[in-house]
Amino acid sequence: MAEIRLKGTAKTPEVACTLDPFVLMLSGRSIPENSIEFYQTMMTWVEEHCHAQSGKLDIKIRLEYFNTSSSKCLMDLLKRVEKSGASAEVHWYYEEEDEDMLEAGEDYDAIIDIPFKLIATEAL
Amino acid sequence: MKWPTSALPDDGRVEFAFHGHVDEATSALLIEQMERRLANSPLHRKVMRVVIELVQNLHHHSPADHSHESRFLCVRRPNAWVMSTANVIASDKAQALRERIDRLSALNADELRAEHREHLSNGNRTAHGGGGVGLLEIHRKSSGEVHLEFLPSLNDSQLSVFTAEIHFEHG
Repeated sequence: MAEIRLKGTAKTPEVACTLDPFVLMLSGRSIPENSIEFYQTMMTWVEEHCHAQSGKLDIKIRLEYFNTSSSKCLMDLLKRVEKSGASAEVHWYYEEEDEDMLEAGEDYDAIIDIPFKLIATEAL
Repeated sequence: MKWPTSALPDDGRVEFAFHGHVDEATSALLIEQMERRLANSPLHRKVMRVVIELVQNLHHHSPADHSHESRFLCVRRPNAWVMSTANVIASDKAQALRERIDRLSALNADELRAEHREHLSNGNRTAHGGGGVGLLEIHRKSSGEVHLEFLPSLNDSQLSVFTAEIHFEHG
């Protein structure tokens, strides 16, 4: 599949995976009971396109809440990008007073070998 | 099923209480209701993160045959939010849960964070996909203010009462 576009719900984030521009974007909240199922399409998209595309993948993450199951899926997703060898950069947005989300970004940055930008915003 | 008195502090006000079977729909409803209750409250995001883990844990550990009910309670004290859950747990699992919580409670913030990173980076997952990160996250968000009590229940089971507190000064 070339593109994924999903609207956000009370439990799942808005998702946009596009080739032109080469972007993977998650926004909103990620608290589904079955995170593995939800993230599977994005895993497949990364597998299909990270090897084939020559440009840099911009990964934009603006999450308000995510459950621990989603945190593992997000890690799996970023590890797949890392393993693909594709050029990529993570833009991790957090509200400037939300220290939990800042720490979460720092944790991923410490584990994943992909350039990370931690970006404070006034409100998501 | 009765709450232990420690879950109902004298200086607190019950913001939300639930008693019944927790399935996926109930779990979503509880989270939605708590979000409404907490809107514009101090530390609402931090509290909601703990609420989400607690409520989804109740769902994951609820028997499919509705044989046991669960409870969720949120109390607001002058300087803290107190969230408690109660559910029936098999006696043979109670000891393992006690040991895990005691071990996490002995860790300081940096040690909890290091353990969290380790769990996050390894590929292990539990049946519900969390990889054992949930309890760690609750400990981190609650700055270690986590308590577990077991009360006698039916044969071969105990009532597990789990309480997490978030103090405003931790924000």
